[in-house]
Amino acid sequence: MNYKIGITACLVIGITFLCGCTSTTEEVQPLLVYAGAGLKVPLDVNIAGFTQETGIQVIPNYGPSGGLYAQINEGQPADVFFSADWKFIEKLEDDGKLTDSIKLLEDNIVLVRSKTGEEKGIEKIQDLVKPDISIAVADPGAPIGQYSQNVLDSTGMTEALSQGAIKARPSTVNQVALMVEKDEVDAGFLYSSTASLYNLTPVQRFDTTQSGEIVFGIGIIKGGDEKRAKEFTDYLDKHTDEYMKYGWTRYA
Amino acid sequence: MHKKPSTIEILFIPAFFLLILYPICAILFHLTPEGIVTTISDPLFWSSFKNTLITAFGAAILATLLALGFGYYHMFNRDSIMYRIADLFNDLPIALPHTVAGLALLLAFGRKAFGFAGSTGLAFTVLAVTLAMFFVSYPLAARTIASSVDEIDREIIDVARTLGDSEGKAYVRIVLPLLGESLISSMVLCFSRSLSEFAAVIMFGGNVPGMTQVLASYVFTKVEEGQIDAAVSASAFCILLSIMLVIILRILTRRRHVRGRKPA
Repeated sequence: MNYKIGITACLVIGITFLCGCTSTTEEVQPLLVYAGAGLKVPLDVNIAGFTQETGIQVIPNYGPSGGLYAQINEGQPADVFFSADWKFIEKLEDDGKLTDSIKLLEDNIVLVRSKTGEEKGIEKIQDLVKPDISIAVADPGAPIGQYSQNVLDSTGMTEALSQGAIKARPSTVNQVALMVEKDEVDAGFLYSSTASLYNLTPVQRFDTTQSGEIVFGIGIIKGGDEKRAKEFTDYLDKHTDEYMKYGWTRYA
Repeated sequence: MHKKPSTIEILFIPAFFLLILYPICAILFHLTPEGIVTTISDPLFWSSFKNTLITAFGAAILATLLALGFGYYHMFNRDSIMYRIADLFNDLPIALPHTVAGLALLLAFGRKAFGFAGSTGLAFTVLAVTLAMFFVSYPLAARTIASSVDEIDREIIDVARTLGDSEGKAYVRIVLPLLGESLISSMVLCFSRSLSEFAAVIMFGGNVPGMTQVLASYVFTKVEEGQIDAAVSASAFCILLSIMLVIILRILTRRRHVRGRKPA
């Protein structure tokens, strides 16, 4: 009999404790910000500044934008979505899941080279057709791969490079960056922001007319803490200079 | 007379149908004629199919050969440090996230370490695809071989040893013939495991369509491109291939059981 009383007591204490937790957090509910993983470094600075200025706590959740989009779409609680691909903001908007959205940053495709690539004299995209050059271009299925393909098409390089210089078709931009950084290939195409993250100096920067527009944007999620989410978004809008340090430009 | 189904049966049957069989059927239900036509008329699909067969077969042979070495240690040298290390590492490639496996292989066999072997080292070649598949499927081979070694009667080996055979000789002359079909089931297992591998293959193999792309990464790419119809038909093709393999495995193992039974 005794153990039953014990278990009941434990349950009661446990439940009271849990209720206590939720009721205290409800009073100072932090803002839930979902953001593309590549944004982590500058966004962490922004979040610290915002909390200092307003006293509002922010909990960031970094991940691949497509995955975060799926989570929000499935109804996971979130207040702000900072997507590395405008496409996902558009999708949520079409489904009526956002109250507001803005295009904040723009990125570019850049050509980066590895140490060996530098020795082989890669200075511009036309150098990639030199003999014995191996490059990594992300699979056209991934967004980065599609933009890279656009650059190859618009510079008329697709045909020349189909002869075998493209040795690897990785599935994400980080894999391409890794291959170049570790000097396993001579060159690759990255986002300007990714190149900065991996300390790779771009040798050529491509205009968005060549790659297609690459927009990072913010959506305020319907049903979340819309008022403070707007406050946060306005703060980010005023502090985009943090992102300029890492290869982004402000969306014009 | 029907016997009353037990609680386990009542729980098992719906769970099995819902969680295992239904997802596989979902792929087949979503097949469209257009998807099938697009897929079978895509030369890149066939080149990835050909690559898959060659590399998975190569990986299966390599993995089984290495596993035979492990089997030797399992039979004769279980106290050695080498055996303990090998036994520990049998599980590692299974537990490792496969992008990590791909990265590990790239750094190990890329041009920084293996530059003498070509402009990209061993990476981004059909051989690299084989090595990636080998890396992830070897543990399965090692376990299959080890468990068949366990079934072998120690006395036969002891007799051979007392008659003057060295351990190596006894292994080749007595253990290997007794392993027989488990060599084949090890190869079939490794082959099937290799079919499904794409993360390590993309990172280390290269995933270039028509060159180093395999079925699993072909399907992955189609999904990423949003070409769901084509992805579904290619997946159905993979399922068909897997089912065929499983059936082969079944026939082989059943034969072994029948043969293993003592005559009355």
